[in-house]
Amino acid sequence: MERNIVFIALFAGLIAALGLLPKLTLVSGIPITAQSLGIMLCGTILGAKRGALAVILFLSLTALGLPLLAGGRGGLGVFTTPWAGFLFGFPVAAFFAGYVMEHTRKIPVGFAAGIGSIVGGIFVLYGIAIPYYMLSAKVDLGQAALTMIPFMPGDIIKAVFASLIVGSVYKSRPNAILSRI
Amino acid sequence: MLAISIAGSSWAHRARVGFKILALAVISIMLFFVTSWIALTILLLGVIILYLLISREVLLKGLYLMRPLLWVVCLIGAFHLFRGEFLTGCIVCLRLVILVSLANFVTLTSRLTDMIELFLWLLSPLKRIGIPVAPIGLALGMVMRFTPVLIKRASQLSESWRARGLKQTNWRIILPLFITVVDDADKVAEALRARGGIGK
Repeated sequence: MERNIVFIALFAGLIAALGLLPKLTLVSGIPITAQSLGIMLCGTILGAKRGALAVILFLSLTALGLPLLAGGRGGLGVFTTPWAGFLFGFPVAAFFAGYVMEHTRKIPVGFAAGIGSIVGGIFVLYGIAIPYYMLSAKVDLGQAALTMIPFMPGDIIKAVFASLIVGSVYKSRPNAILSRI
Repeated sequence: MLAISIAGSSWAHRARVGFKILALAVISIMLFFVTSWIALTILLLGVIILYLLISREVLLKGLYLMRPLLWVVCLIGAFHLFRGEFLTGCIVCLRLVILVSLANFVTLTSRLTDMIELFLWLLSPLKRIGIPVAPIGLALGMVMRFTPVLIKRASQLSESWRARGLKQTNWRIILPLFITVVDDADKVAEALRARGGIGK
């Protein structure tokens, strides 16, 4: 019980800390932040339920008024923008990333984390963010996809990072990968 | 950890947080039934006056918070203009700006502690279906306490990275950051247990 709560709380803090890392800029000129990498890592390391709870905790504090999102954003306002679909999708993404980890025990940890990150952090996340953007901004699928696609290469890079990081954490601290315990 | 809100003693600061959130929710829903751009423009002016009534500082911070929205609004506006639906574009953008600035207004004039109190109060019915609420409060406190620590550690890691003559910080510090956090988590959990645990 205590260990679960502390892991959830500290990982919520980690998502915030990752949002402050300098942005990487892709060749295409699109900046990518490490924050959604934090979502992937939460899900794959903590597992479905705990991962989603850590993300919900992070988002709750953001909504209550702490500037925890990348770029120092926060407050209730960020949840009313057309991009808020990403925020609402974050816990679901972490859940599915963790779900994949929990149900692929025969596959090596790092590799499974990569798959989980792609399923949760890309398919599930965009599956929520794109329809949300369409409804909120009243645009069609083509336009919504066009706005979002530039960010996808960054997310694929993040999934690769997540795979490497989770694999290395597993090597040095196997007990910390709660999704596989 | 610095909150976004600005301290003050205006009527908006003194109003109960629960009331402000409820009003925000009601107005946000009603806003979707307003389809005239004239009405929306008047509402937007109303929001600006609302900000001005509090203080110039709140207005400036409010404008600062709207900055990331600027290019989203441009993008949506451009799309509708391209489709020849100029009016729809105006309405969608106006509604969006009003919605976000009102939500920011509530955040700017509400203390973090009041927000947390309201949040925990809203969660309290969960107790009846068997979800313990006390650990949620503890977890909120822990995140607020540890986030600055983790941010500091991340910057220390990138400093030592640069001190060794390596290029600008890069995402490689994420792995050591996670390992130290995992170690901390075990120690904190042990300390909690030693002090009687969280309870159910």
